[in-house]
Amino acid sequence: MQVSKSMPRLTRVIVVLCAVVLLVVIGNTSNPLANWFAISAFDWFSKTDAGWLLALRLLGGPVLAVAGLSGLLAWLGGRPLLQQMLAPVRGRTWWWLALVTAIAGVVRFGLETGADLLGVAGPFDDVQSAAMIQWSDPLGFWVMVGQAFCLALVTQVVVGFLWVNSQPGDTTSHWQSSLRVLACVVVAGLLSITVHGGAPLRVFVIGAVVELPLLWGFNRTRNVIATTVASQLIWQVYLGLLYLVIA
Amino acid sequence: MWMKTRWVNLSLIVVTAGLSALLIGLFDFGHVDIVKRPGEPATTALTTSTAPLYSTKAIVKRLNHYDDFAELIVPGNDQATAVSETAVVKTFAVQPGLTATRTVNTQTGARETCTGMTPQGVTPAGHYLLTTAYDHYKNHNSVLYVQDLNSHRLIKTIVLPGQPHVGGVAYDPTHHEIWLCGRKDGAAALFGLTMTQLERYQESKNKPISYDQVATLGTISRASFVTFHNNSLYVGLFKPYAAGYVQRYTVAKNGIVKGDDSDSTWSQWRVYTEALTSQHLLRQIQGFALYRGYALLSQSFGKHNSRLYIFKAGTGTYRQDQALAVFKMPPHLEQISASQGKLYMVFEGAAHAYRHRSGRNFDRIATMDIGGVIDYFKAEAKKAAKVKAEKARQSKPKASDSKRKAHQTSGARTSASSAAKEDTSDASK
Repeated sequence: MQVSKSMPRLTRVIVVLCAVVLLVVIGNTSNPLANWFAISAFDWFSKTDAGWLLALRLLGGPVLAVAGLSGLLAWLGGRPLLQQMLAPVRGRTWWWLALVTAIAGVVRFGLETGADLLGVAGPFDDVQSAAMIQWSDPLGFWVMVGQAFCLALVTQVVVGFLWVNSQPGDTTSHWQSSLRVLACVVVAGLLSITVHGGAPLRVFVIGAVVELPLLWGFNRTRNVIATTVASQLIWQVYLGLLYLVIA
Repeated sequence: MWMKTRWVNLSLIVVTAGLSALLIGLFDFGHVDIVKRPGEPATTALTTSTAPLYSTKAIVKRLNHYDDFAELIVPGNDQATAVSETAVVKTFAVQPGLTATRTVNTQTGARETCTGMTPQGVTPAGHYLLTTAYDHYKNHNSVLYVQDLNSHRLIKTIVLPGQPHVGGVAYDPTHHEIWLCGRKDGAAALFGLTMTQLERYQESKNKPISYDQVATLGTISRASFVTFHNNSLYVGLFKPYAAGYVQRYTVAKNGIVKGDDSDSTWSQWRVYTEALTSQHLLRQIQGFALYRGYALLSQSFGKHNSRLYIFKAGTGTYRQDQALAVFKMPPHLEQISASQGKLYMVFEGAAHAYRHRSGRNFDRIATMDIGGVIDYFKAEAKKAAKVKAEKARQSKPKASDSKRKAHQTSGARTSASSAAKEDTSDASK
């Protein structure tokens, strides 16, 4: 599977970053493909006949992004890269991961609420909308969860790849580690920005800060899917609690 | 090897940058952000539209159905040289936002593009030309378009709180306050915005503007249109099948509508006002303007031709038979505003909801030479007064003659009676 064994590490990183840039540009410009997939959670609400086609449109973009990126990584890194990014997670590590992602959830929730209280304009209340959807509309709930999971997975895959491929060697100075972390959180923040959500600064800051505990989680587990699943599960629990408070 | 890798890396970066630039250049950042809602067409536009729906030729063709109107049109900017109809139509401001308006979804607060905006009000305000519109399909907040008065460049689209019908907009040049018609807590209301607020408003904030003051109108059920004249606001009520009316509210020296301040702790002025005077109008009146002692009324309903009435102001009740002139106008004429000798007119016919109902839609903010029309009526009135005075002067000598005659007759009568008296006295003697 791995075609580019001889490819230098820097080139591999550049290939992935170029792919991410193109993905972001394709996903965020008003081209016909992006327009077809550009559906928000609220459009699900506003459509009385929301069905499978709308679900496909909601999920299509993120699923394509995940598939494209995974294919590229498989081509670039092959089995060794998969082993580095999808290491088996032991039972006890799941608990630790739950704790770390819970911290990420608290941080995100606090930052979102704080930004709202400070009056920093943000993407319209998708937190509340998702919370409202999840109990009243099972199909809507799973579509929202699937969409959020795929989008989060894209970020985690890219950040995980950068983290793995920026390992300098056996000896790592604090400066090098700090720079690696900084680069990863900046990329995560940038990947959080979408034209659909608006409020780029707020989205960037929240995306970058929340990535810190998630990166910690990935560093320990070396499994992007486990980290993403855990973070999404915890976030859904928060949304559920929020729904209970609102209701 | 090292050089080769370097070139590969560089090529990758250059190709990605080129492809990204191409995509951004071709499609621009953004998404189609509305799902087709009942009645409202979908769009991929991410900015408020400024292009006309109809060609100049089509507008001129439509204009030719209205002889008087066609004769009276004047350039919409300061190009006084435009003489032909085509040249004048080219100077008209294009109504912005007819096919796409950037506003917010009322329910969600999300920034979206609305395709159902229906223009209602128009007024020049300082260096700006302001027009208002509401979403016919009730999905989005109403808006206020700000254009340059001369170049007609769209400067910004101001999102208004909620979905008021915004049938009228007026400008108080003394206090630099913009007034909008609407409803507050189920009652007719006027909303004030300062010029500073208008200029400082940032579309990127994605929030509806806050009003400077809110005046609840106690004596009118709905505020359909508004005009500012001589330190007073005239607020009118549109009635489709009965006579409407207009009420006058004075503006205090500090620029607020006179009334009771119900809650001074609020950051905005909220007053309850009672009208000073009320005048009855014709039915189906959509706009009212006062200019140099004359009242101008726009009447329209449905797809039929509209009418523009000219009355001598202050007649108390504006009845059709009292009109000095009536002009046939294109359908769907909404608010009219008179300023600097021009009458600005906005039409709603080109809005999506009405576009296919009428064949003579206007997507331009038309301007008419109202100064010339008023001058004509003033000259006519002067002429009539002169003739009247002449007649009165001519009739004066006749009156003195008759007086003299009467005097002579009475004198004769007196002398006759005294003579008779004398005769009687003589006889008795």
